[in-house]
Amino acid sequence: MKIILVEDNKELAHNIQTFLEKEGFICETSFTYAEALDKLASFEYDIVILDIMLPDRSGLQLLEWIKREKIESGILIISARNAVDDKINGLELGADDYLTKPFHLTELNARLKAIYRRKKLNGERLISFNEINVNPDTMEARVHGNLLELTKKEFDLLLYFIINKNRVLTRQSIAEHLWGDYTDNLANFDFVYQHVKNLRRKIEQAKGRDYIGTVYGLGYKFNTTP
Amino acid sequence: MKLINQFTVWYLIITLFVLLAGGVIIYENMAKEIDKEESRELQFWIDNIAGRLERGVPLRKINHDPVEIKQLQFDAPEIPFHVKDTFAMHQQLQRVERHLKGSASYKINGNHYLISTYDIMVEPDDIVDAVQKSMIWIVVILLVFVLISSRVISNYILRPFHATLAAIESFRLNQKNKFMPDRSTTNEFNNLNDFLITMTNKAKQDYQSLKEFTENASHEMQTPLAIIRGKLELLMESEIKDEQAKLILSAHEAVEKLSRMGQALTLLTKLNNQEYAAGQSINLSELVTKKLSDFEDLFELKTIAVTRIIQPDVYVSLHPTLADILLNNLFNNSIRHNFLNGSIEIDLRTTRLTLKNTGEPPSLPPEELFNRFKKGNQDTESVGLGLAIVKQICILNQLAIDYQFEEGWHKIQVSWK
Repeated sequence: MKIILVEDNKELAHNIQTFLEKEGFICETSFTYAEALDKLASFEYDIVILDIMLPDRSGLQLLEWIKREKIESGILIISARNAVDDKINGLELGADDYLTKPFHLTELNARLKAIYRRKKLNGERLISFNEINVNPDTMEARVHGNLLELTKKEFDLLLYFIINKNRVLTRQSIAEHLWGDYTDNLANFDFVYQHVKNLRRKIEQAKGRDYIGTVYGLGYKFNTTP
Repeated sequence: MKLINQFTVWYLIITLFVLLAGGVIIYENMAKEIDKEESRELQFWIDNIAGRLERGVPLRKINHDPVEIKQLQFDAPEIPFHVKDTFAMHQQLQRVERHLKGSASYKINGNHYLISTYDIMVEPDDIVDAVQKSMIWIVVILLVFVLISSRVISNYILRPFHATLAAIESFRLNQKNKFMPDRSTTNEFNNLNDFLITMTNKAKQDYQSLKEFTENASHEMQTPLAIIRGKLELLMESEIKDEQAKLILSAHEAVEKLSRMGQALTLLTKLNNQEYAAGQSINLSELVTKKLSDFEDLFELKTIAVTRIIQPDVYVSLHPTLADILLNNLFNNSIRHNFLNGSIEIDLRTTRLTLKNTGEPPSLPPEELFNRFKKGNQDTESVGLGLAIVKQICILNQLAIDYQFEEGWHKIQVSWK
């Protein structure tokens, strides 16, 4: 996957770039509107990660330009301004998704892959890992071809794990991924433990290997190497 | 008291004093004038009598009531005409009345006569009576005219003032339209309007820069937080010892909390800036039902029993975003402060929403629970702004909020008209 990151803050851009390159993506960065315009005019990208506040112009203007030029890239807006207006404007102008800063890098990863699936793979492709097959459209997960009886949250959790395999997932990032806004005031994340426990049990019952490990003190990790 | 009534009262008090003084002057002048007229009349009579004596009319024919003629020494000097008050019997009234008596002496045909005559006097009481009556009528007429005309005139004169008042009442800092009163013919009102225009423009500017500051501050704060968070997440992925992992996670959680706090404070600022005006009514019944299903697994995780009574089609005028935040905060609150295997009761009626949950008795006085950063339990991860936001939303949308703790139940009630 080839990504262009339009973000004026160099440190933040560096974080995202490091993370995404580790994921095996090609990630280029632009710090200004003009720079991004140049790159978008010359090269093709699967996804544009777009900050709204840029030093020379608004990210929304760049979004308008992308749509005018009929560039096919998927667009993910990232902005600190959690103003409802920005979100609505961005989505109305044709952005595919919207993420508010600060976000978990693993969440960004999940969103990027979801956009990529929808836009580039027409949402048809199964996500597979060894004996596990996950179909985000039908919300079905199979282990050795056997359908798992998962709740919606457990399914989302499994997908989040597979998308972020070999990444440390904190309980906080899992909670935010599964419950979004509702985690705001929740005191502890015991319920994440509950969901992870249930998911592991169900995979195990279907004779799947237990890939989900606990990272002491941090959270969980989907280990591809035993 | 209305301005016009104040003016009227003061005007009437002053008028009353002036009329009182006027009454005294009128009385004095009237009494003097009457005396003058009467004495002239008496002098005319006496002259007339002297004329008759001169023409040879016998004394006894004239000398009867009210005329009195006395003979004086011939060589005594002539007494000029003069008047004095006297009391005499009044024939018709059959009682003693105050009379005015005029006298003068004449030397006629070698005799010296002192001729006196009297006439009934207009009494001071009568004058006072007349003056009083006139004054009362004047006061009545004045009162009626002043009351009517002052209202008509004040309506006309104060029209620009009322227009300004209406304009300033409908003025909102967060709306784009400027405060633009019409010019008036009254200098004072123009001064007031000029001042208000300057002031509102200044306030708008200040508001704008404060708003920008808040937005920028939130933006600027979130970016470093995002950087820290990203760095910590990258650090987690590297080879680290358990001891370090703990430190990283603590730092990560603190950053998380800081970022949520920033967002909550930004929301409170936005609420105070009234950025979420209630546009139309929203169907609270639908929203509550939807929220209940969103929270379902959160209830389940604490095995909380939920009882619900939801009347259909309950509408309340509230911005959709605020309604969402309000319910989120209330539900979160009722879960967080609940026991494991506790209960929640939701009761939505036409004019109120009641949320009851089991839980420990509050450690704070109920009214303080709505203050910023007041927490019943200091160890919790919560920021302590949830109920402050709820209260602010209620205040800004004319909703009444009430909290009570009764027999092991926390009860929060939001009501509207």
